[in-house]
Amino acid sequence: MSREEIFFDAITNLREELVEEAQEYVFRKHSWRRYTRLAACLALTAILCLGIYRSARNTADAGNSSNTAMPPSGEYDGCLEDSIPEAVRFTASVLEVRADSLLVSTAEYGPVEVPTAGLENLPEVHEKDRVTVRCERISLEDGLCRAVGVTAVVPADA
Amino acid sequence: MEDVQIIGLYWLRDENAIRETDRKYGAFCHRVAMNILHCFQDSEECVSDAYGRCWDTMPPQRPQSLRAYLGAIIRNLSISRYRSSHAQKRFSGAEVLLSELADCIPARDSVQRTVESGELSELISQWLESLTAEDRSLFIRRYWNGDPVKTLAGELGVRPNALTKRLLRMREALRRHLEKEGVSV
Repeated sequence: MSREEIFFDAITNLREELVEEAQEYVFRKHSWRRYTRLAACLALTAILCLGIYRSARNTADAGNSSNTAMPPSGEYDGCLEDSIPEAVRFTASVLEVRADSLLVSTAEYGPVEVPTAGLENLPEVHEKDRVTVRCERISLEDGLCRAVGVTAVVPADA
Repeated sequence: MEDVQIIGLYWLRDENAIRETDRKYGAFCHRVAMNILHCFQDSEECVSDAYGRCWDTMPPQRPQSLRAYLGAIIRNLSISRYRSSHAQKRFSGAEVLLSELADCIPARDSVQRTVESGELSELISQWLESLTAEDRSLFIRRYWNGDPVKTLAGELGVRPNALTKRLLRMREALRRHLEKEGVSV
C-alpha cells in the first residue's frame, strides 16, 4: 500500500462528527460576483440618467438662447457652475454699490457680484435700483456667483 | 426515518433496513463511490456491497452517524476496487485524489516516527478542528467525499482555480502540522 493510500485510509477514518458536520454544512456563497454585477448595473443606470439629463438640458438651453439669450428661470439653482449658461443677460436689484463692483440680487442665481471696473457708460446706480446686466458667463467663486466678462450694466427700464 | 430507527431495523434483522438506508443515503453513497471510481457500474456494485457490509456488521456495530459509517465503508470498498483496477491499468478517479493527498505527506527525513492509519486519522481530525467550519467542510468534502473541485467551487461561488489554490494551501498546512508533530506515514 502506498503512502498516499495510507493517507487516504486515514481520511476515511476521520471522526464521525467531523464528517457529519461537513455533510450538513451549507457553504455561504462568496458573492463578489453578484456585487460586481450590481455595481455595474448601478453605474450604467447613473450614466444613462446623466446622459438623458444633459441632453434635455442642452435642448432647453438651445431653445432659450435662440429666443432671448436669458437663462430659463427656475431651471438653475444658482449654485452649480455647470448649470449656468454662457453669454447671459439678467435683471437684478442692486444690493450694494462698491468702488469697482456691484452686488446685485437675482431671482435665478441669488446674490451676484458684477465687476464694473473699466466698464464704459456705467450709469449712476443706487441701492435698490433695478439694472440689466450683460456678461459672458457667471462663475461660482468661493460660494458667491460672479459675473465674468461684463459688457453692459444699464437701468432695467432703459 | 431517523438514523437511530434505521439502525434499530438492522439490529432487528429487518430487511427494510436496507430499503430505508437506500432511500435516505442511496444518492450520497453513489456520489461518494462515483467520485472515487468514475465508473457507474463499479459504483453500483460498491453501494450494493456496502449495504451488505452494513447488514453484516450491525449488530454488533451501532454507529452514531449512519452516513459517516456508510461513507467509510463505501470509501474502503471503492479504494479496494480502485487498487484492483489500477493493477489492470484501468483509469479511476481516485488517481487525482491520491496525487493531491501526496502533498500532505511529510518527508521521511523530517520526522521522528512513522504512524499507522488510525493514529494519523486522529492527528488529521485534530488539525481539522483547528480550522474554520468552512475550511473543515471544504477539506472533508474534497478528500473524504471526493467531490470535484468544480462542484465545490460552484457551491462556494468562487472560480475553480481559486479553490484549487486554497486546497493546496490547506494540504501544505496539514503537512506542516504533521511535521510539527514529528510523524509521517
